[in-house]
Amino acid sequence: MTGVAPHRQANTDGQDAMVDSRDIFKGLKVVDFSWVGVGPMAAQVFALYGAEVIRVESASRLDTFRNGQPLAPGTGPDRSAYWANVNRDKLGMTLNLRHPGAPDVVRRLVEHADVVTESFAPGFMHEIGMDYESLRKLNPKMIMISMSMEGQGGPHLGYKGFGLVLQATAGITGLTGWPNRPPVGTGVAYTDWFATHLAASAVICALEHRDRTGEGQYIDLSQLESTIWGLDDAIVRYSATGEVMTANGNRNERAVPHGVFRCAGEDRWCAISVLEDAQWDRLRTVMGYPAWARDPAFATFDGRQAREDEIEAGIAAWTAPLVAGEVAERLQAAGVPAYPVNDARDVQSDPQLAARGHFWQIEHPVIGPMTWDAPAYRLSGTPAYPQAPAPKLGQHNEYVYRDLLGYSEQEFVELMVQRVAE
Amino acid sequence: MSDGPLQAYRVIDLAGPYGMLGTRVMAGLGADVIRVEPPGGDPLRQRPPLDSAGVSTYWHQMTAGKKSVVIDLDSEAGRAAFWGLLESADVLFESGQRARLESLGFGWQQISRRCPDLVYTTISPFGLEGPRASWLGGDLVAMAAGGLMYLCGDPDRAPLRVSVEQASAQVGLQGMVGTLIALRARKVGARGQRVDVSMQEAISNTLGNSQQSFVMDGTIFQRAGGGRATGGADNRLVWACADGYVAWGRNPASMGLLHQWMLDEGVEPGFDAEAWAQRPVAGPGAPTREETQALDARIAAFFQRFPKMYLYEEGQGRGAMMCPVSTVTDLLANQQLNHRRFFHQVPQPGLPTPLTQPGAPFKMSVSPWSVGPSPQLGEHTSAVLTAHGAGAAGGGR
Repeated sequence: MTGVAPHRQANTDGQDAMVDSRDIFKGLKVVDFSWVGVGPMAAQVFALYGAEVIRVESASRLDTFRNGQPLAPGTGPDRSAYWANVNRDKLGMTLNLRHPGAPDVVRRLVEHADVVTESFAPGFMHEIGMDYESLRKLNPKMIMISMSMEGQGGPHLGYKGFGLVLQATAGITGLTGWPNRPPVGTGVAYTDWFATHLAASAVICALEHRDRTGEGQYIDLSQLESTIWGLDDAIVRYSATGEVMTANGNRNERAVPHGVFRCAGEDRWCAISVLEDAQWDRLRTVMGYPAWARDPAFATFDGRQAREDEIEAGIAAWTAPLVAGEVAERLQAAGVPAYPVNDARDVQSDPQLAARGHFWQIEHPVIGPMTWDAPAYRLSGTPAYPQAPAPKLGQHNEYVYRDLLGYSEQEFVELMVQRVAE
Repeated sequence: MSDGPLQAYRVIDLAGPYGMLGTRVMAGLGADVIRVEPPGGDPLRQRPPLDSAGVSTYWHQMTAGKKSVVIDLDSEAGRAAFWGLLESADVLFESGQRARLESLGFGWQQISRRCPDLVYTTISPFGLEGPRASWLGGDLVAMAAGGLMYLCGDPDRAPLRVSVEQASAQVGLQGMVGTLIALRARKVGARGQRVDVSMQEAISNTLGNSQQSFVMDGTIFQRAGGGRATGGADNRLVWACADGYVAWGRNPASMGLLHQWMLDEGVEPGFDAEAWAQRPVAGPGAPTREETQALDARIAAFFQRFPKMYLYEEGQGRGAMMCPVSTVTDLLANQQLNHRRFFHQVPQPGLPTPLTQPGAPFKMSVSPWSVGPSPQLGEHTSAVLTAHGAGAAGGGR
């Protein structure tokens, strides 16, 4: 496999690195038929920890992310940093699943696989003879996961969507907004991250079951159902109290003040939250103990909540001429939770994210230097490191078809000529 | 023992709201999750709102299927019992308790020496190291620091968080994934290790292509009300309808479908679908603001004639990516979710009627999802502590 040479890192516990992070899933073979966001991101978790992940793509019907912004200059399917950020450390192969010659390739891939992933519209895999019941006959120990909008089967079978609109069905959009305005949602394909983390967990759970019993299984992940887990206690609360939760701006039913305040400069803001009564006293001290804040009624949460408008107006007047970063530093120094609202530039230069090594830099053969985001977890004994940039379209075809699937050179050439392998 | 896929693992759960979702899902997946509470009970049992028996609805949501063991960590006997529990466990999963645990002798160094195979998952606002590791956090701060908040909200107002805690949820799920990877590492010869999870980073992971766009193009995505945050393209997604809102994106491919739908409903569309389908979204030939506003007014008037569930099902039936802006009651009435039996009615001791819980976040064909009530205070103290000879729990009952 081409790319960056592997480099073992000393673990942060100072012990001998007996186990490398890439040993964790070493030998695990993932055949990744998924596309766009969720499936590739879930499979990437296994690639980062050493699995052999074969990303199977169609050259005639490109993954829409391969044209996703931002694109490096030029032409061709290998310019998207969006695509490259969610497919690093994988092998790339092309295969036309609708070609009459495809079933033999699929058979070899499935026989080779421990895990098969897919995120097509429900029904497609069945249509091409690649549903779980068919594939398990080839390899009963294989684990298969489907990641669709609303699940396999049911009255909404085949409903279309993507994270930006599915977050509405899931209840997230309705809970994001100001009380007197239409809801807005998050501005990103937000359901993707529930589905991704849960899909990775699901596959590990299936591996646990297989270790114990030798048995493979099928996982039907509905991105809608995964995301409903992100609604706090909204479901239980309704059943216990009848309360229907609604969007409430930046306010918090248990903390006042709890808001985002305009600072000096264009569209600069600072988030400030008082989660305990003692933090209120610190906040007003940092503000210079203004007259409006001296009311002893504000010493308690109930007292503050009763006059939240007044408190927010007072804080906004204080922050307006100040620099957001300075507001946050002064408040944090005094023991009040606060942070500037980071935009994309701020995130890239954030000192904490930088110290954590949150962004990996790696050279991509077409894009050049690019930034990748690391997961939010750091394993002290087996620290993860990136190894290879995302593959160019079909980059590892020869290796996969010949070395992994056992086709002869002549057969491989024939698959290319017949346009099976594209 | 459960028959769920994580049945082999015992998790000691000291997580607060930041990340507690991780152990909740692990309990559903069959792990033996033991919530360790002080003699007076976990304060989260009283987090408002409360049910008719005076117990927090949040507590029910986040501890369903877990066990409750009362241990007084301020007593010698309690600390001994806690060591016994840790020695019996595979995972210690905490948030907000690290400093207290250290002060009581349960720092990572001591834990890893005495329980070398234990995975210690620790969730914090900014991670354990770095210049701001000691800064105070929370859901609002993580949404701001991680960069998602800047992409949420109306352009003329302050950036927004989501009114249900997203940094807490995201970090909980990532904490679960990191924990499961550390458990897999043990199978290839690794000992226990510390899994250090940052709320800020869990949010930074949700930024889609905005970081790559800034690094490559210098573009800073802006919040766009109910639309996709981008470098400035017009892409409204949220529309009012007769009884609420729907989410739907106008794009060249969707114009013909909408045009036909309007005709079928007896509404004069008033726009040329083919011309709109051929116009670029941005750049030369792109519609002016006045043109899109006029078009959007016609679309908005059409959607306002119908309720959201009609638009959802009729629109999807026609191939439109149309979604309702659901409330909780919409979710409970959603016929897809009900067909799949997503929600569970779970009897809760002390309450006259069952509580509704969300079901498996993914369906496994062989491995079952575990459903149960939230535990009574100390319900499992004697069973758990006597099972491995830890003796008295120092004030437990």
